[in-house]
Amino acid sequence: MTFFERLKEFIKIDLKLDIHDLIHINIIRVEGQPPIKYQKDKKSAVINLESLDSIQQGRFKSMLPPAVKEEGILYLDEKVRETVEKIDIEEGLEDGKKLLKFYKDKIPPDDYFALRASLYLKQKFKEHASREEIYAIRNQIIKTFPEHGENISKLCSSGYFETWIKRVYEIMSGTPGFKNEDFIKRFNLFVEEGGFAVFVSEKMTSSSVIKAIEEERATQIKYGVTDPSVIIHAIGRNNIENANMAIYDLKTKYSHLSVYRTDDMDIYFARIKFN
Amino acid sequence: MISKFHEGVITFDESTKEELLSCFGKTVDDEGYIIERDTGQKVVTQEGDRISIEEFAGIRKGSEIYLKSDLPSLIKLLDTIR
Repeated sequence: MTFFERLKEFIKIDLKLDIHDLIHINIIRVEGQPPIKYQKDKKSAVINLESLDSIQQGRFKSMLPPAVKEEGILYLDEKVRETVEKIDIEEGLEDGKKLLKFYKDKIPPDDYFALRASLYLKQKFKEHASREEIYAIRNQIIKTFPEHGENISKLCSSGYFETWIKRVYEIMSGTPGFKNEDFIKRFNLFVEEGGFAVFVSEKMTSSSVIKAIEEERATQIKYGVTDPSVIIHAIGRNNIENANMAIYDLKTKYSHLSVYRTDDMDIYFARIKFN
Repeated sequence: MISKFHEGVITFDESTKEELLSCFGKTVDDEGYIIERDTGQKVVTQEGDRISIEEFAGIRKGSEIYLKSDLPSLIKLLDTIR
């Protein structure tokens, strides 16, 4: 006899309720609540230990270990069950599904995992979850993925996985002799430098690129960075030209400016140091 | 609904979390970590981490794999039960 069959028998004999369909029970201890609440549509019941006598409690509890150990029934915190269901639903939604499908096997497994966790975090922001919950999830991501977790979650929240990074992959994969490890090198650059980066878009002129670079530098100084450096990403010739013009103008203003840049397949990366 | 949940799932809430641990021969030590009731041995996850009662998420499978409730652990759990 399975656990749920034994349980239905217990409920019938001890709690005087005849249940046919049951796939979930939630066990609580609350004063003043009935011993059982059954939801037929969900095939789910709540068992309240407080309303069972000690013999009934003992009999009920003795059913649990074999259910878990021998039958392999999942035994979870109810909040965890809800969260896991939620993650499953969100990953099944059109946008999340498309994004995860795109990046599967293209980025390192740990980074892919961090992306999944970051998508959930992004959803929590949209739902206006409490600051406490957001920080808790964010810290879990950083703790589990110390190398890239923090920046992946920032880049994910800002939508760069749907736009910039995806575009880079599409450009690179369209070239002859493309290897995924080349994309991963670029990807690692994004992720490792993503925190302090300026992304040059079509709407930006060289003046607005300069402004963005200087704002980024000012933010770093404000937060105590003694040797500020700013990363610039650009795709497409016009954007690359604006980035180069901005750097040219900045060189006249900052005498110790040093620049490292790469420009390949119209994908541009520059690192500017000001000291 | 996740397929494994269709096969059956038992859940507990905050009010019964610690009490039901004793059904599995476990208890909570002075520091709030889950231990074997008889030997005092620490209970750990598959990754070898101790589990506090606050972060205890549940038990999976016959060999009693103890779960933590942080998001990455839950995503891993989802992958095993989908």
